[in-house]
Amino acid sequence: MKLIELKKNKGQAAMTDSLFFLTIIVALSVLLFKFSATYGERIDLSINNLYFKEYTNSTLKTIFYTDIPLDFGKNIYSENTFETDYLITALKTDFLPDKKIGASEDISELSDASLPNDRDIAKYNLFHTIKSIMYPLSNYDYIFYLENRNDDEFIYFMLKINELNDNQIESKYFLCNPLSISPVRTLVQNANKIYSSSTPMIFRYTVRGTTDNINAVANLTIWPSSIKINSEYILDEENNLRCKEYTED
Amino acid sequence: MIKNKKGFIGAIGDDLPSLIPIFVGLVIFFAVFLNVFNDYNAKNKLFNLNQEAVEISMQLKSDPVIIDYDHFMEKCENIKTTKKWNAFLVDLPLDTEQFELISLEKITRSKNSYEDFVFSEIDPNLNNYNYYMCNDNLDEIDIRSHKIINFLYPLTLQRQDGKTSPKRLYIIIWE
Repeated sequence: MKLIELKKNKGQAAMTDSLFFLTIIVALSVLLFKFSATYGERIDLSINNLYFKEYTNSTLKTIFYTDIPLDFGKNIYSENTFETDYLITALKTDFLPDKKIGASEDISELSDASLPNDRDIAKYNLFHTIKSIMYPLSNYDYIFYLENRNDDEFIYFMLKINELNDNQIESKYFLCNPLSISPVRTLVQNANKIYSSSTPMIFRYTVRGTTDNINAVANLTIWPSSIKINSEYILDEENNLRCKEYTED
Repeated sequence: MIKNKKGFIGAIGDDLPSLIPIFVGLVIFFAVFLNVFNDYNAKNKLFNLNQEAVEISMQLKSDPVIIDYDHFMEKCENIKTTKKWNAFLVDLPLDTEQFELISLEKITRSKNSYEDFVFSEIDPNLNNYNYYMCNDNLDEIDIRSHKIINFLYPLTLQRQDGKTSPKRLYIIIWE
């Protein structure tokens, strides 16, 4: 009787085997697809990191090696100026007599562009040179700062963000005066990804006839524009960034 | 002896229904394998292009300032790669209102379109324009191809009048 039942079910074992085979193939295919989808993610990420690292490096070099006019005017776009020098030279010259860049003790101050012969020419040129050199990377926010490592204080601090207003992206530029690096760290923590480059520098200064050096660092940090970092956040006094917005062109 | 010949076709005929899932399984496997293999190859090609672009950019940007046209062309000639590539300088105006975005479409629009955007200076000896461009092959780029890598960096160029000014360095590599 059992033999009859078995003979009626012949071929079912082969069918079961083939269904197992199909299940294994489907599982294998899913694994292959998963491999394909994730393959190269790390390579892509490292190429991306390398590119932006190189970009920030190049930007730092370009900022400091760009010539600025030395004819005591703020028309940095003028082609008629005779005396020019590297921006880095102008910054170091400005720093020498009073251990600061620009006229004011408050590094977030920048005098009006219409005033001739003032002490903010190097600072003004630095602000606009950074702004124009970073202009092609319009979808990114950034900070650029010069920090005095001997006294743990900032010599210059610039910040740019993009803000969405009425479906239009508006770039906003700030000069800030943070008392320490910690508010800066808090600020960049709001960004998803950051790319940063630094370069060591030496600034000389004179006090009562004697000259000394300070070790400084120039840093450029960029990140894709984020809605978390907006002007409301930046101008909030609790942040201790102590920023002022500059809208002049 | 009980004979059960109902539905009997033959040795294969009995197993014919089980051949269908096997056949479907094999089709699925080879289709997925081929797809993954092509994707893997395409990604590898793109990574190789990226790597070449990084190496080219490292060589072109090795000096903080490009001092003149000959210096730029010397750097171009020192680049050894089997890939199709080009690199050129475009002005980066300090006045942001004069900034002009250079898209890949514009770069590849017509054979001599580069004259509109590649930075140039008059050669004082030959009295013609020196274009800061490594190769003359921009018209070979197929904009529809997915294998184009376009890198952009800022760079400082010392002009003939001795002043240094920022420029944009475009590096394009394609297959």
